[in-house]
Amino acid sequence: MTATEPDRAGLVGRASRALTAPVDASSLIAFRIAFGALMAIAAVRFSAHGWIAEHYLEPTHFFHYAGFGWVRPLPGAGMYVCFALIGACAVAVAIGFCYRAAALGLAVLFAYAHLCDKTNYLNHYYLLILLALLLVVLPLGQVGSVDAWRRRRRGAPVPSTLPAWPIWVLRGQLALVYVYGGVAKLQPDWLVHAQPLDTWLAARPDVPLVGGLFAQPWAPQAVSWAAAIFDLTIAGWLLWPRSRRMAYPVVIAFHLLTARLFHIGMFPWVMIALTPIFFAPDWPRRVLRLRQVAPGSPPPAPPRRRARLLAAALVAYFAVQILFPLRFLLYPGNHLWTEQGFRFAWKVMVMEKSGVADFVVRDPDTGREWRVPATDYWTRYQASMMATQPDMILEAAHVVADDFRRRGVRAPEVRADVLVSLNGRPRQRLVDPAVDLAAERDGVAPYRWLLAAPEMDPP
Amino acid sequence: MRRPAAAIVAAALIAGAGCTDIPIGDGPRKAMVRRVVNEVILPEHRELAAGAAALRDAAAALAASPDAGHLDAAQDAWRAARSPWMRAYALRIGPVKDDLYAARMDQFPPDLARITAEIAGTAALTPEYVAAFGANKKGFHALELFLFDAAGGDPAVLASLTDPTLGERRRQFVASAAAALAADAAALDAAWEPGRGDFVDRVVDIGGDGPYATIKDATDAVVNDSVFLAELILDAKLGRPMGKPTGGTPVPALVQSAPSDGGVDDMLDNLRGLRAVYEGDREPGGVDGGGVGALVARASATIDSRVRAELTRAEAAVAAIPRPFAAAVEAQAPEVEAAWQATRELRFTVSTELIAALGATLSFNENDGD
Repeated sequence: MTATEPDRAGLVGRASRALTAPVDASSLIAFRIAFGALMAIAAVRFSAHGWIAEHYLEPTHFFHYAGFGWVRPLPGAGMYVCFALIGACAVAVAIGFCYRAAALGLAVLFAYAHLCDKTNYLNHYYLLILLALLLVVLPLGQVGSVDAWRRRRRGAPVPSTLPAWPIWVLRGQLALVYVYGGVAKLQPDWLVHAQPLDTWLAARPDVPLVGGLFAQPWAPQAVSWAAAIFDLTIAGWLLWPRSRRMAYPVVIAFHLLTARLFHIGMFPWVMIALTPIFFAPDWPRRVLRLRQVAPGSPPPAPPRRRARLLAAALVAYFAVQILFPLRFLLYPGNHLWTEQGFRFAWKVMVMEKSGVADFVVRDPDTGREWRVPATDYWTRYQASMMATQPDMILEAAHVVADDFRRRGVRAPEVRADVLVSLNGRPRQRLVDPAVDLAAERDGVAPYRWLLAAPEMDPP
Repeated sequence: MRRPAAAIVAAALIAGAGCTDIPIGDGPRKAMVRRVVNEVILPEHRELAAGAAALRDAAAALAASPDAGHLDAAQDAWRAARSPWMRAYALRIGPVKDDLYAARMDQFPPDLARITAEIAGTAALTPEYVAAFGANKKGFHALELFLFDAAGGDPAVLASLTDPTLGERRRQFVASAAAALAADAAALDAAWEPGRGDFVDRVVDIGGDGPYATIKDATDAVVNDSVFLAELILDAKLGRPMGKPTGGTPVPALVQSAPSDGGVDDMLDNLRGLRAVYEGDREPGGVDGGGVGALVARASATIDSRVRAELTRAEAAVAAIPRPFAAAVEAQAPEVEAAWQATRELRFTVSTELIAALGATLSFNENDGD
């Protein structure tokens, strides 16, 4: 053993002891209840807005995630049943009834619903899926739950505390969302040119109290920097006890403002409701003036082998969560333009991008050409989302090619006519119109058929 | 430490609640919406109602006296009523969509076989009876079938209307279909009028009794309809008849308003409506009255110039299409291709740069984003 090894063993040992130390479970119970409630609301909201029909029943074609081309929406009333089950699982998670099965059901069903079509990707749906998956392995159903009540009635021991590590897992996940949301803003359009906020704030002069401020010339720049600083540092402020009491109201104000400014659904409410996990573990007791929990019985330690497997899995999980959002750095060019490495990287509301895509099909045997509007295959919403995302454009070209093969064209060539405006710049071609996309394969390599991003600065 | 936090939370809650007691000023966006609905769309609906009433009277006169003079008058009245309807396509919000006026008044293609079956039947073709028809048996295009004949001209129309067997039934249909159209146009106008349906005022009652909760939603509605109209002209009125999605073989049957050879006029009126919304003024080239263009110019003079230039090019290219339009399509006249190209450029610009300049959401729904 070297001179550093006892230190490392001491460090690991101290960390291990800290992570397994029993803590008041009330913050975790509050997290579980809030998460379950939000998921139940999300499920109801989906149905109430008519999005089940719009996203799953009306489209005739869907855009698939890599490796998940086999995922299809259920026919008929199937997706309504799916969302009803999501709601039921969410309620079960909230109240801690058959907790682990409910968490697994929630994770699987919600992930399934969103794997059906890449069109509907949203960062906060991704976050909800990750949190649902994490909840499967976190022991949040052991305390303050229907399951705990039932165990107590059977005379089985029920812990009064939980280990600290679930709190740190959840804090870590939420911190990553904020930090990478800030990293996404470290680019010239956002920090130097205050785009897209310059455009967005001008469109919202009717926000009470601050709407008039948005018209001031300095406002977009100030808000851009403030948002970047908020995202990059807020997790730290929330973790530090001295700043926590000021930081959380700022969190509320920030997310309420974004809720007022943008159509971003559940995201603000999710973050407002779940960031109290950064507080002290007993914060609900303090707020509700409940008696502090007696040291009492700690949760039973899991078998050593299972504990090690779980630890290894969580380490691997966070390694992926830390590294995966950075993959955009491996691709050349402006990632706002190419969008390679864009998804699953917490790039929340960082650009204003609009585009139009049509396809030109050519039969090389006859020279005949067809100009195919995207809306011949996809809904307006799908076509609009596809037009700015190259991987979806490529998949669309293959869908069109497959259709023309079925119609008897032996080897259809499909070229895309795609024009995009990024952050208020004049429109520009995104895709090389000379490239036959039907002959291109998707993968992790940079798309050679994308044209260079516009060089001019945004307005 | 608690008091500042409480103050911040209170302020945030007020902002988040979107308290509507705080008055929302007439900023440029709200002014634009108000301008467009009051100075462009409401007058179009009024002109439509007046034109449809004149068409009803002309059709009744034709039914009573089916001669060349009354036929000419009815044809002119049909065109005069259709023109504001086509211009109003630039902003199809509210009653025209919600109450299905668009379907009732302008379904294409009309179902000639079913109309013929009704005419050959025995039910009295009263205005009430015809008003209850499905959308494909009434409206502008259904009337057009009996007022115009692209192949045989006015003699063929008069022959049909004076046919000893079905002529009278056809005349009854023409009179009643025109009356139904006039009733719909009047009702649509009434739905917009201040002091009656009041939609013109409710549109700008942001967050109140109107359909839009925020200024952005109202602005988006105006901008979105410009995009949809550009797409409609490009795809439905030009691209599909030209055979663009079907391998390049023209499909003249898809030319709208073919019997009256009004397809080019329809597109020109659509473009005029688009320009009127953009300029905030029904008079083309008039003083810029604060339409969508005023907002775009504030964001980007470059994009504003481009939109105006492309509107002008599209108008000129469409106007240059030789008549009859269906024949030009079938003959694959270069002017038709030129009009398609010019409209395509316009569509690209409004769908990308105009949307981006205003931070509008090209939305067809209320989906969340992030």
